[in-house]
Amino acid sequence: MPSILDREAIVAPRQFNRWLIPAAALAIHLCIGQVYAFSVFKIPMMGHFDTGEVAVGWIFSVAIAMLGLAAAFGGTWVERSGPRKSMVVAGTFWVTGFLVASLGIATGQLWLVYLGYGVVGGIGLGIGYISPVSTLMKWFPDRPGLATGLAIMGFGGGALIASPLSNSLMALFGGGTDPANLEAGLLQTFLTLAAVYAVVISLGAIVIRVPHPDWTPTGWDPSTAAAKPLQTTANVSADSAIRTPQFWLLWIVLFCNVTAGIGILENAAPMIQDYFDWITPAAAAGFVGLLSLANMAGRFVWSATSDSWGRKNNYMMYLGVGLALYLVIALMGGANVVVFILATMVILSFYGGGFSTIPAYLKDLFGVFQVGAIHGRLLTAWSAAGIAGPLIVNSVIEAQADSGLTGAGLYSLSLYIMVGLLAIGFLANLLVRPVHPKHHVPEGRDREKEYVQ
Amino acid sequence: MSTPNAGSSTAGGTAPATREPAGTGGAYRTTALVLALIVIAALAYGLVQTALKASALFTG
Repeated sequence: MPSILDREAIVAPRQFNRWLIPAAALAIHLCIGQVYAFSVFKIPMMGHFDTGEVAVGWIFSVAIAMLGLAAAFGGTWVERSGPRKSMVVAGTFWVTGFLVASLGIATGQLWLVYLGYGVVGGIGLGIGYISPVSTLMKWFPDRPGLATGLAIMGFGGGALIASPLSNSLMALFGGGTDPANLEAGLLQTFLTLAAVYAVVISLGAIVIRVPHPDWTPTGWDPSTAAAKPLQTTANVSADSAIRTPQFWLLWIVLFCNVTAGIGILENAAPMIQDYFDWITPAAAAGFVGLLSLANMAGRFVWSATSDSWGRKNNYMMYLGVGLALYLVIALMGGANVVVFILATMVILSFYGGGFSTIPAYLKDLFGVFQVGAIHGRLLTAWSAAGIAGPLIVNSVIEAQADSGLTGAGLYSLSLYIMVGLLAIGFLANLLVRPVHPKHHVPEGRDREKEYVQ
Repeated sequence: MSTPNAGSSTAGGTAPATREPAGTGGAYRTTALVLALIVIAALAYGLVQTALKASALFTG
């Protein structure tokens, strides 16, 4: 008899409104997307632990590194276990991470925050990120780009929610908005967020369903998918996928696209002030907010358009137009603030679109059978870009500053490096061809494995 | 709520035909609706807060 957490326990009836499912997927992504708002805790934690920015910054870095590792190593388990069990496990890790970090805050032990939020929470991030994605694609086989865009938009949205919410909670519990008050409200804020995330993720796990094996969307003919270039109706296992050139070409594509986006994100506030010396710190913070909106909108809009344009064409746009826009910023970004803002917003929308379109691209090439596990392994490109991007940008800026450059001149070289990276990504995407049939899973085995455990 | 179509000619194989679909009755629909409202409200809160912050680019 299956447990209530198993895939078999959440098979929907043949008549089911699939639009109930995106809220369940968004629930977990909105919660774990909090990680991108971690910077709001930086100053309060620096005061609380009496330590520097680097020591606190490591908490976020450990969490993102664990995200990549957990997604890569846990992907096959997630695919086998189904979305409810993986959402519950991810939620348990994520909430436990907050509780262990709370213990660290209460006892003044920073290593407990590394262990809790970084390691334990980071495992929750990795499993939670991939857990609803393949399920959504199974519910929306006619619009997989829209489906993944909906879920992964939530990850961007999570930061938009958690950032103001955390500030408000710290101010509420600490009795004011001064740094000392925010520091005093740190512990209660972590505990409150843990409780909220536990409830929302649990609701998501209750609502999530997998489609009945005989269910198809009304009016959708699976044979039309085969007529589109690069879209397969066959399936490739996760172990076979990583032996194909297509997997590694997409790894390069994702790595280049993410690194280029980080090139702007990492230094957005100082960058606009260096390009235009009349921009105030408050206006620069507003610019960061605008980029966050572009990042989130791009996740949904571009991924949804990829259902019509084709995944390969979308990445041509992300990488090709992105390259041109980086050149515009490098060559004439300082001349006009409107051009600078528009160009950076479009680049950030491509950054978000790159994240949300990749699962649908993987589904096109490798089929839906183990797409979650393949997606998990591909996310190591994100971890690598998360290290390489800031390293490249920050070391180049430092070197330029040491050589006496100021203003926009600080960024030119790193912008040209990003242009080169985007060109490599563009070529990699150009080389993507359908997967050789020798990698396909024999017909019947994929269906058997998915529904009969 | 629909019932499992165990005897359907379109049911593919034994396993799908014998499985009981998960409950999707009134309690399920209420939970799904509550979750959808939480998600929409949270997204609206985040978007409004971020738009207010972004407006500082033009006013600050």
